[in-house]
Amino acid sequence: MSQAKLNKILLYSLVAVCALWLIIPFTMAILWSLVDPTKPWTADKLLPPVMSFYRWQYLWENSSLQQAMINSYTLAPTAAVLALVLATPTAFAFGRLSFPGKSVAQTLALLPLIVPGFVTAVFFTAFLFRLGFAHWRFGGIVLAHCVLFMPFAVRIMTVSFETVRQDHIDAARDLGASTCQRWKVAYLPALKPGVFASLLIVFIYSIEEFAVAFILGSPDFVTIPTLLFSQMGQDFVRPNAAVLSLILVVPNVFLMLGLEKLMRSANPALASGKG
Amino acid sequence: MYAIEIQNMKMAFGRFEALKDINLQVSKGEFVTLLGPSGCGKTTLLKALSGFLTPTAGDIFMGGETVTALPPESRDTALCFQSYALFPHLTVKENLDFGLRQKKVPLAERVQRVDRVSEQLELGAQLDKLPNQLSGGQQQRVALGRALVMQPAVILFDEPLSNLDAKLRDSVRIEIRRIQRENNLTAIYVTHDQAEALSMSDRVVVLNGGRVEQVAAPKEIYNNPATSFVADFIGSANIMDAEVVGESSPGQWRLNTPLGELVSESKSRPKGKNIKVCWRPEEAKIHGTGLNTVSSPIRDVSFQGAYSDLFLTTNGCEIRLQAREFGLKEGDVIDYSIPPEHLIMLEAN
Repeated sequence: MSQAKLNKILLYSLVAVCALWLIIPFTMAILWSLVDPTKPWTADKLLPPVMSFYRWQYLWENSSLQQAMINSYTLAPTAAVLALVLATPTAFAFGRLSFPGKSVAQTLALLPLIVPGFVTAVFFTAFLFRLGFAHWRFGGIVLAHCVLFMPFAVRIMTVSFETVRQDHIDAARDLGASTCQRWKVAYLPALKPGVFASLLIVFIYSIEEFAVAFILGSPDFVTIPTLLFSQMGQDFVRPNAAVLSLILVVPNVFLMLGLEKLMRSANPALASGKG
Repeated sequence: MYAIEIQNMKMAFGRFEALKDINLQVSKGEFVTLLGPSGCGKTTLLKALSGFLTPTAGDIFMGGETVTALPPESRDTALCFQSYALFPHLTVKENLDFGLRQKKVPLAERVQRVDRVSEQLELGAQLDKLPNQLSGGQQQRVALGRALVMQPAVILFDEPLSNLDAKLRDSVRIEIRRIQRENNLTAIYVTHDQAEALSMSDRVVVLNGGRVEQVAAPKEIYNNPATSFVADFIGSANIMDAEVVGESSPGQWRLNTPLGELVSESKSRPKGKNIKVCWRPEEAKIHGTGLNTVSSPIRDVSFQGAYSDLFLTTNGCEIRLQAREFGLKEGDVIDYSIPPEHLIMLEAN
């Protein structure tokens, strides 16, 4: 068998496996969300006996879904932007400067990632309550998400800052560019993909985060994940949970695809390593 | 008034002295090359001229005014980077225009200057392309154009040809020189390639270990090296220890060398009793007779095309000769003579 043919077979089988990986859970979620309450979907049937949008309509009208969506979709972008803003100076120091203790500082900055989320949530929320965030739950959750997911932003932005080429900065200076212009011409193009990636990562983590949002937010501040867990928790209505998980995941997929495209178009020339 | 004047400049990084007491004057329109091995300080000196490094001591003047404390963005210099450093997300035209925009040159003049430079460098067809769509030679020309369009008082080159292949290097070299002459630019050119330095420059500054070894025109550097370092670094040379015996007649110095007693012709006095002397392999006359004739067996022959390199050992001294005669072989004993005017007395030992 020729090398090219083998490559092709491997590629197609990889694509097939990946597709199954995505298609099976998605199909199951869609099917479950369409189960009509009049006829349950029992294990002996391949497809739900009666399908309708009843669950979607019911959740939309009778639960706090609308409020949860508003909350989640304001929370996540705010946390993403804030984490990026806070991470950038640190990342600049890690990526462009050298100072004693840099590698220790870099390890410390990544440390929050290794502590299990629920452990952090239980005790971090106690700290936030003490700071007075009991009365401003939105702010508390934003701050917590920022702290929890900033290590991703720091890591991504550090790599971005490392890819900024010193000779571009020097060339801009040599041609008379001001500090502001230097940022625009030498830094920004190299940072752009990192900015998008960091926003995306923190957004996705924040929108899916349950522990902090639950402890800080309950009972009156709902997000999509806390609503989802409560639907599963009380009497485990699987079709309702399917509706909520689709609502949670579908926008993420589109966001991911959109940002991926943006990132690719951000700087075609830098990727080639030339110029 | 000099275009560039460097006075007693020193540059230290912590305890390491990269440049020690540099003095140099460059006239307007002159093409000066800084030549030396890696680590000799040539790039440091260029960075001091462009403003990226501030000297630890001493002064730099350009056009009669001190620029020692001026940052790069305020200096009337333009640097051609070794890596080209073209902005990858800007088109060729935007790259060329970038500096002019920073200096707030009026639009009409910007357009005119970019047009002129792109015409001069034959970049007209590439103006709307991104740098990574160009070949190495074209990128080099854009980098050159981006510096030229600024019409700087001094243009600085940091090994601009080192990323090009040999053939392209020759043509770009000629082009750089042509453009420098056409625009009467003062140019400082850093290289470690002696062929580049000798063929392009009005004057060559040979640097070694942070010191200036010699500043002279290329022919002078080659024919009359001031030190054994220069003699050895540029071209090949036979360098020997010698003891000055005396002046046999005015300008004729008798020397005791490992090859026996030789005579050197020189207007200037030797720099000590024990000195170094050198001579170029191609200056010795094979089968020569008379003054400064040495007889020695050939140890090795290496054919080079237009000539052969002969290696000899005379009294423990390794000697290299160039012969256009190709019948010579190992073990042959030959006579060769060194013309006294080509036996050059160098520094004291």
